[in-house]
Amino acid sequence: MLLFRSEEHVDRWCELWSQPRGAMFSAEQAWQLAQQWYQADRREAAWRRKTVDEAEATFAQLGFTSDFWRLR
Amino acid sequence: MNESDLHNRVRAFIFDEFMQRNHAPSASETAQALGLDSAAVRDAYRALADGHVIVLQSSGDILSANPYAAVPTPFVVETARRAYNGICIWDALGIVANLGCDATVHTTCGDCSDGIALTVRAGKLVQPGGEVVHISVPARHWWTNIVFS
Repeated sequence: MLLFRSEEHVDRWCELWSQPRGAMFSAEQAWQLAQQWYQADRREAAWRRKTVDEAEATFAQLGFTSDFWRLR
Repeated sequence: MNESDLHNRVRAFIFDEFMQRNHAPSASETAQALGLDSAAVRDAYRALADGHVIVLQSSGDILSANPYAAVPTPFVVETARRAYNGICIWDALGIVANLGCDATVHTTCGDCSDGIALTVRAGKLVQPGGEVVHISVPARHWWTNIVFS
């Protein structure tokens, strides 16, 4: 997951490396995703990874609802 | 101590070492610090890796305890106390979220290599420009090659 100056830079990178254009979103959305995913203290005994349902719900909450974000 | 308690103690120690010192403890360091058997801690490392909580190198050493990377990366998180590395922009911002402090993520455009800095202050991303994040691997395949993803 890389950061780019703009969509044009993403297109150039995809062409250069023969990679499909996957999901693209703003730095602000990435910050929201990072908080949802990593804010919990992983030192806590009660911490556990998100279930598939919880992870998909997190994506949906951020507007990531396309097939790209499905986990099964 | 049952297996679940052991894994929890080992996990807590690993993440505390990353958070406090940006240090990836070896299994023997963790065993010594916690007064546990080395073989049991190595098993716990494998179990945590199987559960996608950490990623191990072929040597058995930690490559990452996401969001923290144990090796230099192009995603450097600078805080008032120290610097950290994330494997990708999501993890770099994840380090900021996990630490809950002000920080700046230093990286480069994946295409042109121009430097980009994203600053978080008081829980908010400061003046984001038009930068975009891109991921080419669909979510259900991320763990096929988590380092590439």
